[in-house]
Amino acid sequence: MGAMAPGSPRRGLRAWISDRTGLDRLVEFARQQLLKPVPKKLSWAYTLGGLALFFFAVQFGTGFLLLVRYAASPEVAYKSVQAIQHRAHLGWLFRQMHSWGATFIVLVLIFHLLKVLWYGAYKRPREFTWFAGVLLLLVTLGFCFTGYILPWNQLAKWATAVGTDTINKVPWIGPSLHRLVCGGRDVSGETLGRFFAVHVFLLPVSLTALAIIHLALVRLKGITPKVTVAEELAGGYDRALESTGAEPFFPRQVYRDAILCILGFAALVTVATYFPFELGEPASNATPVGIKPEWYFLPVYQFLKYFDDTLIEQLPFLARLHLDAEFVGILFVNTCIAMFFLLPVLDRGKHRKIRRRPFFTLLALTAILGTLGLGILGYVSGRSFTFGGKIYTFPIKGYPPEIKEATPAGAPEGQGAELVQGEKEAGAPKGTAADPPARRADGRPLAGSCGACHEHEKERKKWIESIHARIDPPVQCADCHKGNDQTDDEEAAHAGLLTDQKGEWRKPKGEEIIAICGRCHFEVKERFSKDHLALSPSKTCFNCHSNHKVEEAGVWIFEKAGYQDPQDPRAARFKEIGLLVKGWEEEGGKLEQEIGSARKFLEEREFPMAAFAETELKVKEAERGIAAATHTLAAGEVETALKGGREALGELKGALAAEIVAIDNRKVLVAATWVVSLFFTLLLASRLRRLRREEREQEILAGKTTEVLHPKTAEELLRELDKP
Amino acid sequence: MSRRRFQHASLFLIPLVYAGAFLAGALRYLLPLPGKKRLARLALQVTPAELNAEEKVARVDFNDRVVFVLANEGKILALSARCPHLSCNVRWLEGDNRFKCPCHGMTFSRAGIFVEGPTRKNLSPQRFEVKDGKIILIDEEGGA
Repeated sequence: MGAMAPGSPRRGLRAWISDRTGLDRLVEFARQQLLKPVPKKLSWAYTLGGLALFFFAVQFGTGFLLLVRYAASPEVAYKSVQAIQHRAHLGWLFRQMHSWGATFIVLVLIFHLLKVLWYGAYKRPREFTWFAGVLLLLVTLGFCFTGYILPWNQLAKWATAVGTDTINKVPWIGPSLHRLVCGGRDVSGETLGRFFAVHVFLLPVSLTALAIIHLALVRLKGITPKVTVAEELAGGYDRALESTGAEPFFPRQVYRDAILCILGFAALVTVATYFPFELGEPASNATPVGIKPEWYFLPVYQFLKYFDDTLIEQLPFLARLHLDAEFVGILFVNTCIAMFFLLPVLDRGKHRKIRRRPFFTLLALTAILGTLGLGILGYVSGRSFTFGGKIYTFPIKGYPPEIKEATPAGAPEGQGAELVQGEKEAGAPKGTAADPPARRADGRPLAGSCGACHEHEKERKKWIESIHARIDPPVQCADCHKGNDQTDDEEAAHAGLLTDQKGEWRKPKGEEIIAICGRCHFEVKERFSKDHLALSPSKTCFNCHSNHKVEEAGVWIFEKAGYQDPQDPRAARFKEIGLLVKGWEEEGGKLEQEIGSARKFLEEREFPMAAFAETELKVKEAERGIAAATHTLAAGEVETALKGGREALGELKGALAAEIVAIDNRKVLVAATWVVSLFFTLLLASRLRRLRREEREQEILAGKTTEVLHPKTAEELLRELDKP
Repeated sequence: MSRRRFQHASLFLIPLVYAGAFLAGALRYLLPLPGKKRLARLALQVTPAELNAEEKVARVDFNDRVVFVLANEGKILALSARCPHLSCNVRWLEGDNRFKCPCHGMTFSRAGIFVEGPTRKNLSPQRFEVKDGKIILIDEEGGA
């Protein structure tokens, strides 16, 4: 505590607050905690608890920020997460840090737990520290499970559905319990609300309470000394510390904690940036393929697969007891968890050193290897991998894999592929020339009933390859020729058809063609130059675009169709427009190519392209404007339309580029985090080095070691000693 | 500054820089997202003639706020329903020919003039214009 002049305003204020709150006592308590002795030369593994606490703090911080923008309703949950990810400033970072934070915490807690097992730190008198710690791990897993559903995407919904379905296997009360947990017989919006409430209220409260208890017990009972249980109990904690020597918690342990935390933070920012969790598709009733839980649930997920009906066949007494095989598995897993929780009661041996606990070591190793193995099997099950020129396909139970020679079209080396990949969705893809839609969107048969009587094979073939057949709903015979293609009655089918004076069917001509095409291409109809029809020879849509084939517009029309006769008074104007269109095809084509690659970049990162809907609409309008202007036979109008097109495409390109730059800037954030973190680490490392050096000097001076001082250091020390 | 002092300061500064950067990012994250565009102008269906003839008070929702449009002594008025006391929306009481706030009882005359209540302030006028016989409400911050 810094000295303060009595009567100074600062002292006065502090005394005023302290008198009313006991602040001084609190500060003194904190100071005592910092200076509390811990065993000397603790390994770095002792920083894992602090690191877990730090990551919990990160989860609380990022969780709060997500909570501000998240809406726990099935209608908007997905959209709100999408908005957090893509619209809110740094929302992507907070969301990814929160998602990755869960993995980091579970990892740190597992290593922390392994350390406790290694050092026998769960033994008397620290049983309750262990109990609180195991409960903390379970609460953390509860966080992971309840948080998984919140984005309300396919994976979230169906992983939760599979996870909660195990509750149904509990005899007698299972279905009721499941209904209570899910708020209905299935995972639904009701489940989302429940899990949200548990995730943001019940679990944080439990976690805070347990963390306080755990920390208080750690401080109260102290860090496990390197002596046997009996020695510690007989001589007390302070005496136990004497064997290894003691040092205050501050500064060495605090510095180490700080180093781990800052490096952990940088690592979290890095993975959050470079390996983002995909949001995927919004939740629906179509179960997606390859649903698997997060890695920390994989061992249990895999283990439960072995408890199926074949087990009942092998152990018929289970059937007599009306026990579901999966329930037996769940019972087994829960028994293991209960035994793990009660470890300090079950393992009452006096020794802490791992070498003096061979039975425990063997048991722990078996459990660790078994869990790891189950996790790996859970990961590979139902997937195929190509390795060394062979395809290994793992069955649902994980083993043995089916091995096949890889074909060039096989899965890429070292990468997993879902078994069901490659299975086609039922029904033919729509909108291809070779395979046009079987029916119109309104349910009418393709080409109506006209095709039943009128073959027109040549025209039909042209139409089938045209854009009119490829769009949905397609433009069919009756759309242009009139009549009724919804009836089998001959008279009714031909009612309203274009006919000549004798009542015979005839082709449309002149203005009729413009009117027919103009029903959809109304912008073109509005701006269609009168000169096309008025001057001789008159031209209609068919002259350039043909009728059933519907040729796509392009430069070729100006080069090969339309007005190729130089004597035609419209030819010069037509040619001028052709040159403008040619220039635009190059310029616009380049812009569209750039836009296409920018779009692909963003789509790969799941950016919601709906954000550009307004700009894209402008582009479409501009394109229609250009198309319409080319029919005016006035170059000036085409130039104006092209200017509009240029601006619209430029605006879209700019909007896409701005998002790409923002995504690209994330790398700068990661780099800056590492620079600052490493600088901080180096500073603390130098402090730790100095501490070590000072300790060694003292040991040498005290004659505890045979090492000799560096001449320079010795000189400095002698000078210090000579000082009065 | 000596090397040791710089190191010492850095030990405190770096966590502060981190916390500051996180807080700055979080504050910007908390700013409202650009939402629905607000209208710059809204043409009302009710005409000045109708308001004058029927002496009625029209309640209009305009850019998430409520505006009362009425005729008072032959003059068209548009008043914001936001109470100048603590921002509740006042109500028009037909029988009393008064505006009254449901929160703390602020009462205003038909012209939006303070009658009684905790603070001596009038209802704010809402910008509008009459063009081609139509009343058009104007939001200066709208249309952006």
